[in-house]
Amino acid sequence: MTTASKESQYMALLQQLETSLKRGRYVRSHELATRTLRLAEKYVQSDSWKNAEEVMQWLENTADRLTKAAVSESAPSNVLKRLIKTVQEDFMTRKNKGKLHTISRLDSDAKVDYSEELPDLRSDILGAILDLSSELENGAESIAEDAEKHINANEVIMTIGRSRTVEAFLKRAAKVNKLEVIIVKCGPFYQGKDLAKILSKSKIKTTVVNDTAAFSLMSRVDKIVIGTHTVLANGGLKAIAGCHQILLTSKYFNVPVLVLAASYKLSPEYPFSAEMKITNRFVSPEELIDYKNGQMIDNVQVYAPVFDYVPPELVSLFIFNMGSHAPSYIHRLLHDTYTQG
Amino acid sequence: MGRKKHHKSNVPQSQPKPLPSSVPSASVNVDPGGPSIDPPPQPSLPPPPQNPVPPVQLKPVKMPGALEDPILVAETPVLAAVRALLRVIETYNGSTVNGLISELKSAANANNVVKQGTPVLTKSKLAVDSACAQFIRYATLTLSSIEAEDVSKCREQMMCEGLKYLKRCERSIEKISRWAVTLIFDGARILVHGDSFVVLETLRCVPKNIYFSVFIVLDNDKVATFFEDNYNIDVRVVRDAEVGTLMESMDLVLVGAEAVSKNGGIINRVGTLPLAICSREMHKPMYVLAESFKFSVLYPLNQEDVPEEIREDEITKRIRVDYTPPKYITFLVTDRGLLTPTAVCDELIELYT
Amino acid sequence: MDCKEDSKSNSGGPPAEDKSRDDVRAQRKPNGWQKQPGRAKPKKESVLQLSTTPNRLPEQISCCSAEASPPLHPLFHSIAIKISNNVIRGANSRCVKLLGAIKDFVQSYELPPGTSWKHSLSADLKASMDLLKTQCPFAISMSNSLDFVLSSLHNMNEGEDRSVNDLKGDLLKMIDQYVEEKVEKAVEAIVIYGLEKIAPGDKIMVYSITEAVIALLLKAAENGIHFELIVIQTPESMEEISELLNKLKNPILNKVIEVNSVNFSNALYRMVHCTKLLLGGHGLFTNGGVLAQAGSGQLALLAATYNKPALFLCETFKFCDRSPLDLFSLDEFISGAMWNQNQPENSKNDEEPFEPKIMFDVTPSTLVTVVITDIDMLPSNSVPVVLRVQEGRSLVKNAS
Repeated sequence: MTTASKESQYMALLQQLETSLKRGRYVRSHELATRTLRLAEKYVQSDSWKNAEEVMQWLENTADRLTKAAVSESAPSNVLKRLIKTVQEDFMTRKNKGKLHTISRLDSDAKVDYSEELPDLRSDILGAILDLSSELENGAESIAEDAEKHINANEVIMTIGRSRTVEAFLKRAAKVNKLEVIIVKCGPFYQGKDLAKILSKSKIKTTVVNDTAAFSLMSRVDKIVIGTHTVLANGGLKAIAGCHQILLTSKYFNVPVLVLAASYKLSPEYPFSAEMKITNRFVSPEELIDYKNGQMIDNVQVYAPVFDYVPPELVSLFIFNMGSHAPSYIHRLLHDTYTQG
Repeated sequence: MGRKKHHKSNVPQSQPKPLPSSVPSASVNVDPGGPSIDPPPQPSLPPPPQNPVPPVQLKPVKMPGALEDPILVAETPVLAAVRALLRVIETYNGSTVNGLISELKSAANANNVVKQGTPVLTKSKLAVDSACAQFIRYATLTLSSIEAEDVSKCREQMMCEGLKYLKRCERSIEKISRWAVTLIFDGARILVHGDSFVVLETLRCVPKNIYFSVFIVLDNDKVATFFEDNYNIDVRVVRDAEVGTLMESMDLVLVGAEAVSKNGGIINRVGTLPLAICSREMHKPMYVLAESFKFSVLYPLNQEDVPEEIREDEITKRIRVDYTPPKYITFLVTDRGLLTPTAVCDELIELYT
Repeated sequence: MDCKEDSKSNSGGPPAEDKSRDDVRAQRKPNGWQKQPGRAKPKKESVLQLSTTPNRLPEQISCCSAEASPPLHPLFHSIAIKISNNVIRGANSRCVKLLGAIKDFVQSYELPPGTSWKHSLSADLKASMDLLKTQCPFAISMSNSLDFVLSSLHNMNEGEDRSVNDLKGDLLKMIDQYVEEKVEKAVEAIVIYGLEKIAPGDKIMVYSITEAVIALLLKAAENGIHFELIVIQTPESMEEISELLNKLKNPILNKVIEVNSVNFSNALYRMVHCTKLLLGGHGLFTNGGVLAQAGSGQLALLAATYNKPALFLCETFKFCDRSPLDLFSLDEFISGAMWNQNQPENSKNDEEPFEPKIMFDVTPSTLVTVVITDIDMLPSNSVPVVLRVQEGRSLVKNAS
């Protein structure tokens, strides 16, 4: 393939991704992460860059661009930012090969010159991308491997809405132990229903209830297992609306909460207010307005934000594909995953 | 998507005008730390032979000129102490690296001995302690990579690292305020305890288009007038006793710290603990703004466990500081980024081991 | 993809279907669970069910005529149908309608020869009510008013000089009085107390809308108090919401109030801005718990977290002398009103998830800031005490 065609290839990919972000044409953040990674791969394969500095610059610019396209979606920029860190590390190991010189991380002001051209860098980065993409692909499975450790026999598990990671996790747990699942439907989309159907098809005792029932049922629940949209830098969550309330209830009844998240959901973003005005997404409330006479709702304003912010104290444990951690440990993971700054 | 911002019109904003950059007369105030810190062993300052070491200049310290309140310049003893230590390295003429290090250590101790006695210095004693310890740690960090037993080379290296550290200390407030302004959103009502310089500096840096109001817990109105005169920020001074009533309507709590303990708790002006408990009870976030040189190895178990010479005022013998356990703290905003209290311990481990 | 492992391998066991149920009741049982052959005990199917088999199961009205049991009096039958089909909604109107039916029943009661009017009526009424309870949800307000009728019947002085008609007249008068004092006046009293707590500029979040809630908000708007209303909607409460909004629709009122609406799961988003949470209660318990529409507990908890007061409006005739710690101690609600009465026909299919409809929950007293009752504004824990003092009830439970 010629260089030019490769270049146009990644440009086209980028544009596609940007458009679907802008128009909200995507199903789940996993898809976004995979597409972003494919884009990065195409770029790295192309000849549009000479040195690490340029790659990092491109990654950063693209991350910014994609973030601007849809502020509420952090998966693309998470993937790209993670690659920046990888490029840095690859560069340093290549450059310092044979040298016994380690840059102290305490020395945050130290400037490294990344403009040196290293011929092997390309293959290193491509290797890293390959690793990442297999991690993305097997994320849910490797999280599910932990299921037996956390779910004991005859436990009643509550979950909120629909998450494919949770689905795999519960199926795995049900293979070993008998368990019961209570699914909160989670309005306004009620995706919980779909999960309930899938789980009961695979012979798991499943109950599906409305959001309002969580308080009444919580006293019978042993554990809550949920997925999330994003894990924020303080160990909090950006999760589907309704989670905050239900997890408050679980706190009230002292029910432990497990949050399953693939590594690309870990974001260096900090939440600053409970409403998350800035990075929330609002959908059309047409699904909510079901009043029989339209006149009545003349003066009614309806809000339908998609996400809730869940503070870290409501989460007992995170299960990532790279292991399980307490919320207070998230900052360490972040530090290992992303560059500081 | 986002909602319309309110308060578009009434924007009594932090002015873009920078801090009244050090009025010469004011810096006299700083100096109680400065000259007196001079380490006893070194008689004179011979010009340093090494090239990369610029002469240590006592950079004028930023401070609000209008208010001659020593509390507002509490950070400067730290910088002074670090400079003094640098001077120790610079002027060292012994022959072993170990000698230099022990020299530094004794100088660090001397710093504190000299300091005790005046109220200003009691306040910053902990910070000076931890800053000196960190300085020594940083300065000696990279020595292992130097194979040769060459003292001058080591000295050069230490000087270089030490200067970096000093620069970091100097820039820390700037970095903190850069992080901290992101915490302040439009329409925020902020409760501030004490007159921590970092906090005030942060509030000054908040962008123009963000409207917020500040409630400051203090015994005197001096700061309020100072603020209105210099910063153009809407400030109300409240008494300690009002905290409970006010907390309900607050959005966040900002405090400074005299020292950050190993577990992520803080030691700060008395009254911080009740404030923290109150904010936790009402589920309001409490942010601590602290430079990383305040991270100390202190690990108080409870109030009793805070060293008495720090806890009590030298002269009045009244309780001066209290210890706030980490569970009340949402975040620490440091020059190393936003840290959860647990992260402080991680940073310290990295630092000291 | 995550769902790669479609657990086809799992379903290898024998078909879990057990079609040999001949008992009508067993079919009514929520039976969405698949049975794990050899493992699950058939009795206790889920933690969500009670340890004992519920004695009163929801029956579909259509099939109740097919039952072998004695037929329900047509007066009560029509009530049962209306209540189960949600034609009569709300604890208050259910109670009033039931009392009306009882009145008609008393009026048309034919005394079997050779018996005492009082005893025979009381026995027949009890029997009918027991039957009614099996056929529709029986609100606390309903059973309280029934208790009232039975006890006033019991206390009646059946002297030589009094004819059956005299007694009948007395009883009807007492029932009318009950409706007026305990139901209608109670709402008015609550409105008076409640108005004290609605200040201009308030942002009031409402949920679990009852007659008292609507009356209070309407009165406040009529009094010209400018407030903002945040209506929390769930699919189940649409009728109450439209009733409330319809009443408030009056153009004069629109000038003084603003209405916002969010879905239940977005309550957090508005909770931050609201100043009060207003909820209607369907029942009050001895331990201070308040029975209200499902979800009230969650909202009260959310309000407590964000330091907003949670106000419950509850008439004292809804007081219930029990102390449930959670919903599961209220077996009649679990088996009756709370579970969906119309399990879908395909629920026999074991691969369908069980879908109970929980209509109520109990908000513990720690989450209740105040209960506004018709006697006073009270902390929810002291409601039973006050009631006892007022009504001279004894602290020791009656042996009856």
